[in-house]
Amino acid sequence: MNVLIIEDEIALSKELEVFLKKEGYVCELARTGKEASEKIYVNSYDFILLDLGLPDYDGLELLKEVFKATKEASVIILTARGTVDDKVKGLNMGADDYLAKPFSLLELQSRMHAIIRRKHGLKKSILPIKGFNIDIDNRTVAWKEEQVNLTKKEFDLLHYLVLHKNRVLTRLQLTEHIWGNLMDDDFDSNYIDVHIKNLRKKLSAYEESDWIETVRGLGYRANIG
Amino acid sequence: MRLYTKFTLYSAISKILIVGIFVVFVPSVIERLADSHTDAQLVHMKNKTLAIVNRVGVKEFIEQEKDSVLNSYNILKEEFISIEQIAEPEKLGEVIQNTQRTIEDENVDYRVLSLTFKSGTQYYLLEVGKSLNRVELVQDYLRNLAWYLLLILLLVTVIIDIMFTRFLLSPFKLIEDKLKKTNHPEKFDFSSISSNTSDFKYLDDSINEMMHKINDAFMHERLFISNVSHELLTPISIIKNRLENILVEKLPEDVAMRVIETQNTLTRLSKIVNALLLISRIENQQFLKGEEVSVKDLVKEVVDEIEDRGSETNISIRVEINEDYLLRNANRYLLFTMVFNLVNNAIKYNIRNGSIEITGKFIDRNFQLIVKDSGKGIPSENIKSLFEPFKKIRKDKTDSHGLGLPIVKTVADFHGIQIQVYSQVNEGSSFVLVFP
Repeated sequence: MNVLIIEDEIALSKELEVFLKKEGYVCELARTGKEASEKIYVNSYDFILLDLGLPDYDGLELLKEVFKATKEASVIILTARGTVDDKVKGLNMGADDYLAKPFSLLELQSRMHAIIRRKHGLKKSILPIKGFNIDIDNRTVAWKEEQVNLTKKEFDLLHYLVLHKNRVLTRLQLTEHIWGNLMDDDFDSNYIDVHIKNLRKKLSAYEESDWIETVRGLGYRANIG
Repeated sequence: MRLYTKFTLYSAISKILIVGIFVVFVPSVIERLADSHTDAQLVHMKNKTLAIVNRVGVKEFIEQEKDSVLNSYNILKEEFISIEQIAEPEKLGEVIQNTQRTIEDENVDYRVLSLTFKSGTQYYLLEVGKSLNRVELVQDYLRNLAWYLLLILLLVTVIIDIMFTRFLLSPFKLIEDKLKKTNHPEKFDFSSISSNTSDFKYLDDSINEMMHKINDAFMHERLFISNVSHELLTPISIIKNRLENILVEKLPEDVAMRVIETQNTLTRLSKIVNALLLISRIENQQFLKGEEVSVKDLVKEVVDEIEDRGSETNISIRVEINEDYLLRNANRYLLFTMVFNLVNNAIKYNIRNGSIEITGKFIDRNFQLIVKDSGKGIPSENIKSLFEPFKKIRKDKTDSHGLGLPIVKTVADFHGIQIQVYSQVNEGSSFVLVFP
């Protein structure tokens, strides 16, 4: 899949590129609005990651141009200015999602996944994992025919671990995913451990859940072959 | 009191004062007027009589009658003239006074001019009289006329006063309306009012200018906040993503641990920056207030979101909101943040197996949302500074940045919600939100 990263901060776009390349995306970078507005007419992209705060271009103007130039591209707005209007305006103009900086790369990836699922209408919304069936659309988990009674947060955790299977997710990444940009004043909490403990307990009632591994000191990993 | 009311009141009072003065002075003035009018008539009659007397001679004049007295009344006894011969009086001269005369067995009050004079060796008394009834008639007439005139004048001036005040003050009312419609300088209507009263023009222009200045200041601050957030959050963003990419590499365990520690430190920084930016943005009115929020739904949402956090320490959360309250002109996201932080604190500072009660009810016509915990409580000397940024009462809790309650306070202020705190050490605290 082709991704155009429109971002004036080179260091940042480089990190995005490193990450996305590993995930199998083909990346192109545009540092200015001018550069970007040329690229969108020449090449076709599946994703456009757009930083609204470009020095030479009004981000929302560029967004308009993007939609004029291409119909296929999904746009995710990235911004550090985060004025309240921007988010609403951007989404109203047809952007697919919005991430406020600083965001986690994994979060970006899972948003992109969600967009792909939505756009390309992936039929299979049931993920079979180790005897459990995760219904992504209805946000439920079943063991055979039986519903496993998970809380909203527990489901989100399980889904995120499975989505990024075989990869260590730090507590921080998990916290950010399930609590989002919530403005609480905790920055080092062990709530994730509690959630994982509860999640394991609930799953173990049906089937061994040791595939959710605690990676000592680092975080958690869903080991799925 | 409104200026218009004051003007009207002032006008009414001044009118009443004028009427009062009139009531006190008019009767005596009218009386005096009538008297002097009568007196002038009497003098005129006297002069005419004297002229005839001079022409004819006193003796001859009187001798037309018997008893050496001339008495002449008109038929209605409204006036009379008499001349008689008298003994030498104490002094000669002219007097005007009211006396009663009996004429044909009828007592009649007269105003009489008496003149004693000497003709030859004889003294004479000339009296010219006018019935007081007649005089009073004139007085009544004059008095009535005065009253009617007063009433009409009063009415006309009151109407003119009211209309004129209203007309004069209309630009003022326009300015007032403009201000009333404005809950934020940005929403201010800058069109200037039309008036040829220079004071109002000046007032309007000054207000417009001030509003422009305030708006500029707001704009300036907004731009500043936006720049600050960009300048601070971009480097944080770069470090964060770089650390994530580093973690994916094969790292020795201790290095990986330190990368994670660095991530945590960075999160701490970014949370503080975001919290400060949030507070500034709210204070700078950058959040819209167009939503209608049900407190009952809001609390349910918060509890759903947060319940799991209390499970580790086995804290029970009980919600009792029998009567819902709809907060209009609200920002749902901010209110959620506010309630979330309060309940989060109630969990964080609670004891194992503790409880939290969230109650919503009307007390004294105001809806109150009370978040009560069974925690360790706050010493009373600390309650005052509770909402100050970076004031951490509990020094043992190092995992929070101390901006939670300032955020709560800012959001509450933004919505006109009052916060009261009651706490007893070792028994727990209650945070009370009093809705407008």
